[in-house]
Amino acid sequence: MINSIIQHELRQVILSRKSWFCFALLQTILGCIFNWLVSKYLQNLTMLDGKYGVTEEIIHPYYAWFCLLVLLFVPMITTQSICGEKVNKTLVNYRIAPISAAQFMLGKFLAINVILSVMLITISLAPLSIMLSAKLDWGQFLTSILGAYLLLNAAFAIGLACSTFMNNIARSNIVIFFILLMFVLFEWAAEYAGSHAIFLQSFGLLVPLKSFLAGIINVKHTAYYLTIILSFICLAAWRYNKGVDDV
Amino acid sequence: MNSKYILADKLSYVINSKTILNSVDLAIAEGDCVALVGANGCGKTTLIKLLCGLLQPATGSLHIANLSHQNPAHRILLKQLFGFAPDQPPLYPNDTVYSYLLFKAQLYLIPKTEIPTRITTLLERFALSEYRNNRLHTLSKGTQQRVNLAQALIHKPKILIMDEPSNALDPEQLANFCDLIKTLRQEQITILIASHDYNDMIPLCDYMLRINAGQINKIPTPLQKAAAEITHDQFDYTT
Repeated sequence: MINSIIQHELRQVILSRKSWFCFALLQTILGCIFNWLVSKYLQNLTMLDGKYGVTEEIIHPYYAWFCLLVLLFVPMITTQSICGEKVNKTLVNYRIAPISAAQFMLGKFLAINVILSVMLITISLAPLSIMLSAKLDWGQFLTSILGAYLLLNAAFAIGLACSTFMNNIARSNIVIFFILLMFVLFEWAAEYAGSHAIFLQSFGLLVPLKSFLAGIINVKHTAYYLTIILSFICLAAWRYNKGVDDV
Repeated sequence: MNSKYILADKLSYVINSKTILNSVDLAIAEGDCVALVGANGCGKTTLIKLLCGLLQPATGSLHIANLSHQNPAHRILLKQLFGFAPDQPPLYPNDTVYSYLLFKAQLYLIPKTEIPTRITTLLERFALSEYRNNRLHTLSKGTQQRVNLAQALIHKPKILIMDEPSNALDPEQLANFCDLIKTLRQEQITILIASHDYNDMIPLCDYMLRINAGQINKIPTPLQKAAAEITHDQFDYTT
């Protein structure tokens, strides 16, 4: 059942020109960023004096840029996934079928997960090409991928949950964008508000990513992302179950 | 045969303080073919969505084959009973006719080995074989409507609910649709058709339910009236 939903979602993505355009745009921007990072590294090579390697100087910022760029696409992807179905009146296909809310949400989430994994694999080819001329820090490289994967899954789960509450595509995009921005800004807000609000820092979506990009797998940070994913998927399933008037 | 296969008791639906259905009682027997008629906006689609569990009633209860949407344990079983063809076909524009029906079949957990046969049968039944590999957005409205009807029958439902099914059908397709309803009636499927067009429904249905101002009135079709009159005359004659 979940498998059929995943297959169907992937088919929709593959057959959509918009998704291919977005994918190509992302690859082009990341290609330019990678090129810029490599050029910058080669220019500063003598100044760095062997203090930092390619992984720190190229791969770390490359995955940070990747996360930032994909975060901008999250509202569009998640809105299309559920709110888009409501607007196009196709959600009724799922509503009248003998599937539970949890199966529906998992199907939608895992489909996005597959797309994200494909994106991660394709964009990781550029950093891997560095291996031809330099030595990669595999630990940092893999934790960067893991961090990006967890962060973006958390963002997608937030987006999906918000999308279930929305009935208008433009409004859904804006709301998801601002909610994600709020999660990103928690960190700065905490610093700005002072020591009494420092606990807010723990809710910042980008805070754990920094440690992953630095090559550290922290249980607290991993648990944070997993909690966000689980909580928002449950919220989305709950809302889907409650929102019978959506069709 | 269950005479109260679909049973609604004091069913009401209110949206934005406007009463769409007001304490409606309804009993439809198994195998009946019923037309739900009324002016646009009178609540036909609302009643249909309540029956399908797509809306929650404000008050009252609804039982279908002794199962209720309000009972979470019954929901999945109920969904297996229904085939629903909404007024706006719920089609994915990029899917082909075949892939869309395949997706629907998978959602209903039809065994993999059975799916191709079922789809082929439906494609033939609705004269869709030639469009098998066509994208849905390239089809005419009438053809899309036929795909809509086909998807509602993919899991061989016991109850078929159609909302304005004759929309966008040309006279020939309408005649085929009437033949389809007759065939389905022979298969003892309970059919509920919502339409604003009385004339299309008269030859198809056992009786009509007219929704007006939130209330439902049962009205016999002219054929039934004629039959009743004949029976009455015979009765008078023999006595």
